[in-house]
Amino acid sequence: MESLTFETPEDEHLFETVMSLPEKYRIVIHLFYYEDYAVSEIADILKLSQSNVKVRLSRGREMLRKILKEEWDDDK
Amino acid sequence: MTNKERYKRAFSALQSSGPLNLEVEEMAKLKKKHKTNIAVAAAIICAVIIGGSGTAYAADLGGIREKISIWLYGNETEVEVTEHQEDGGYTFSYEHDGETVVMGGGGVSLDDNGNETWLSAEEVLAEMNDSANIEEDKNGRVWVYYYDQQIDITDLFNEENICRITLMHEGLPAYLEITRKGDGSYPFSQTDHLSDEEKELYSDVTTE
Repeated sequence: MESLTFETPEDEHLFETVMSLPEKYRIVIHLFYYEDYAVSEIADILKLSQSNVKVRLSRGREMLRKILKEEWDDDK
Repeated sequence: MTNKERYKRAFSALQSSGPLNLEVEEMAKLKKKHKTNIAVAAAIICAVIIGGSGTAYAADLGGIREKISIWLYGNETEVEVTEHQEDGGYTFSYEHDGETVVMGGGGVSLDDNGNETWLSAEEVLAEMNDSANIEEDKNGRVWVYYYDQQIDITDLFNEENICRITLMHEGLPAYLEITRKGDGSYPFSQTDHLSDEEKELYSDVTTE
């Protein structure tokens, strides 16, 4: 990530962790957290069922939690 | 700081960077990607049920009229279509259960450049044709209609009042998740794509 500038080392760690996720989890995570799309909108964009999107979000979050630990809170 | 705020701050690095590697470029493209994937196929504005034949009503509307057959509630149904030349929308009328249903509808699709194109009546009705119908009969039995199939799903709801079924038509699956609301409505979602893990949650009930 030499060409990218991060505010903190935690930001870089988060970025690298997200980029290491399998693509199917990484995409829903990004659409939810960065683009602010709702589950229903993500389902529409990716032509998935809403429950499928929720499963992928849940698994992506779980992976982030395992790697980032206290740097990633439980989502409310 | 919330996870969202943390995430946005981390990925704000994408905005102010030089050449990116391929994977990161893909992430940056996600914002544009959605515009090419969204197709708003059918927006049914309202449905009005009127008694007797709807022919007189349709005759008053003017505009270009044609008849298209689609599958509705398990029967091949003739839908009379009147095009509204002023706004690209349509009025559809058909007979169901001895009553005439009249509804307005229309829709647009977005091409790769975000340009809108009005859908034809066939395209709007194709969405209705491909969509399942859910109806509770007067005996309280709940039916799914899909093309020429009629399936009783009354006893397939779980303790959360959700029913998940797989239907087949011409070798292609449709996955339905139906929710039983207390007010007698049955909202549902329909998709033809599911992961292998998700498919296991759905019961195969096709009669084709």
